[in-house]
Amino acid sequence: MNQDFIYRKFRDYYSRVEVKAPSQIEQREFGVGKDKKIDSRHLMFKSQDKLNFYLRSAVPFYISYSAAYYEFPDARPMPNKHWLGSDLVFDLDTTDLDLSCDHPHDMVCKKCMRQITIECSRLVNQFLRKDFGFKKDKMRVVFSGNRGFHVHVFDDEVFDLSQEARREIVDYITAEGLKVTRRGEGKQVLGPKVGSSGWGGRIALVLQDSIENSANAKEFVRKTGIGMSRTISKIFKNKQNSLEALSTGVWSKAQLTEENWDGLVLEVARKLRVNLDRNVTADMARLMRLPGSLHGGTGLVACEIKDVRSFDAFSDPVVFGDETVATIGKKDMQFTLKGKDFEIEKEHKINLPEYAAVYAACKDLVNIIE
Amino acid sequence: MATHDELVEAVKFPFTARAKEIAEEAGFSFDNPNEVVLETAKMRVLSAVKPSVRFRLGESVSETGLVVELLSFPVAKIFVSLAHDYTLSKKFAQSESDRLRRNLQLSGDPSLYKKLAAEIGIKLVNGKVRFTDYLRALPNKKLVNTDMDGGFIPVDDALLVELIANTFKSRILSEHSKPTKLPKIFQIYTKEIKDEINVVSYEQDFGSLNVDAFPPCIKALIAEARSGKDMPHQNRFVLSTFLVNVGMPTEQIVKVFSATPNFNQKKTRYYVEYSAGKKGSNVKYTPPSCKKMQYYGLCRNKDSLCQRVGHPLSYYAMKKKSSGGVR
Repeated sequence: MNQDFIYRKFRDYYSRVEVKAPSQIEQREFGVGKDKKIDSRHLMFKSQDKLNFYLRSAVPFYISYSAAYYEFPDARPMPNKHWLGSDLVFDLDTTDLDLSCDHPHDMVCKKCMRQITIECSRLVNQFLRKDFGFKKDKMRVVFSGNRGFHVHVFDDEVFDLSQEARREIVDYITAEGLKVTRRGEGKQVLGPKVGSSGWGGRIALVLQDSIENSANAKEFVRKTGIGMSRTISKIFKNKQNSLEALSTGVWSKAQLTEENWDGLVLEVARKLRVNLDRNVTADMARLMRLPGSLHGGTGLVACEIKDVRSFDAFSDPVVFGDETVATIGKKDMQFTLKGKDFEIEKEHKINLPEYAAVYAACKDLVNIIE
Repeated sequence: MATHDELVEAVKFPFTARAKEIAEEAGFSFDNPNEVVLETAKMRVLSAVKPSVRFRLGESVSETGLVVELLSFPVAKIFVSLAHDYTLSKKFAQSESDRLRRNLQLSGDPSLYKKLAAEIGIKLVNGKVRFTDYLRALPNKKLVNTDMDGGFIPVDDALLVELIANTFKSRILSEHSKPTKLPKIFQIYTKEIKDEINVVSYEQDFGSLNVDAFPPCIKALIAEARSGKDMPHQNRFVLSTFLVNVGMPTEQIVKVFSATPNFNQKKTRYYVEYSAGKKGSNVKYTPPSCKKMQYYGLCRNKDSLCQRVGHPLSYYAMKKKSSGGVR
């Protein structure tokens, strides 16, 4: 019953909208699914018309397209597709965050979404724009339709980067393998100065700022959330020397050993890095949710976002109407959509507006009664 | 005419426009190639694979000698390309790039670095390079530890030398152009090179195993692994289980796969250990029977012994017995 209901609603959606084709659609591979995200792949569509015709007639519950461009997108096995290049893609998902929310893994709350939004905004502004120098118009942020965001970079510069190169980019963003100190003459330990670029400069600046604005070690720990009390106490034993170490780049001026510094740097980096799904970026044949399509696990639309910070994941991607639908709860669960709270109770009848009914049916929280 | 200094520089840095010009002026004829150049080029290729073959550039004092050295570079590239052996291509590119690095370091001349960087297509803007140029040249060097800003990375002399040497390497690896019509002598030289290399690598890879006794299907799979082309999972599995079953040590099996694209030593080792039953399900797999091999399309180059056996491992056992076991 639920499947039929979802199918009809999805079909209505696809018949009233025109889903925009991804750039160079004829070079992209598509994958579609009903029960799982991808039941079959190696599909291709030559034009936006053909894509929309397919969506209206086949009504997939999930549809994704390749970050890669191929000469023959529908050829198989993979090597026969003749890879031409790939967009650079990033996948941010609340499940990659270390959150202490008490709801089940497959649900999202406002807290999860707020955190993943901050991550996304940091990825775009601090890393992709500032460090990597990508122009704003070469990037696109897309709500995944469920628990996070996809960031696509379309730039001729990254088009043909190898898998190893893409891994290096992920390692940069996640601070994997970071080491900013080095040995100078004698027992000298050198590190980045405040004002230098890259990770080194970023860390020196944050440390300087936190030390300057904390009266003592306790306050530093409280403000930064870095719990290395022994190392922090050493810093505040001679605050002036510690600050001088950071402004001159001679880190041995502070009362810290190289190991102390390295440990502290990793702790700071852990706060400043972006947590993302490392495999997605390195996988050059990855299929990504098609913007404008519906997510079969939520009934929300995967939509392109102009401003991440003002995006409301519990309203903006809702595309269904208010007509009442009768349902029976399958489990106890609460969720919020379009500013309204819904409380589903197991084996209790509840009338839901269509948009909430679609969401609850996709999440398998209710049975539709018709 | 090129001056002596120009000639020496061209020999050391054969990718510059001037070096190519000098090579052209020297007038090497592909239809009627100079045997000294061919011989020198062969040594140049072999020096990449066999440590016993010494090949040093710029040691000639005569101009004729220098011209021969210069011309040996494009000819060596043709030999490597004709050999269709990815391991050889990789080793050749590596040795040429090492040689270039040494020559750059020996010159110790930063203005030369800048000139050569420009010639090889590394764009330096105020002493910085784009991170994409950096990643293309040094895909395994930690980007996270650079002072990147706005996509640009500051470059010192040592890093610039690395960038030039590695860009040179990837350029050699990606170049495939060669004259379409070559006289037979090129094939003859290439065959000589291949024969010498095969002796080397069989000794290295298989030790005292009796490789000659392997069935033709397995020999074909080994050739496939070495060709540098992507190998389907099925084919890898068959080859790896066969080698496990004839008692080849894991390290050596891993080596056999080292020429396949995206080769990852750790993953390959896990995979080989998995088929040996040392990891995962603890099941030691055997390779498929001849019937299954036919079904998979992997039964290749059948010979008379194949008619009498039903399994690649029986072929090996019988052949080994008849040839007296150890080679």
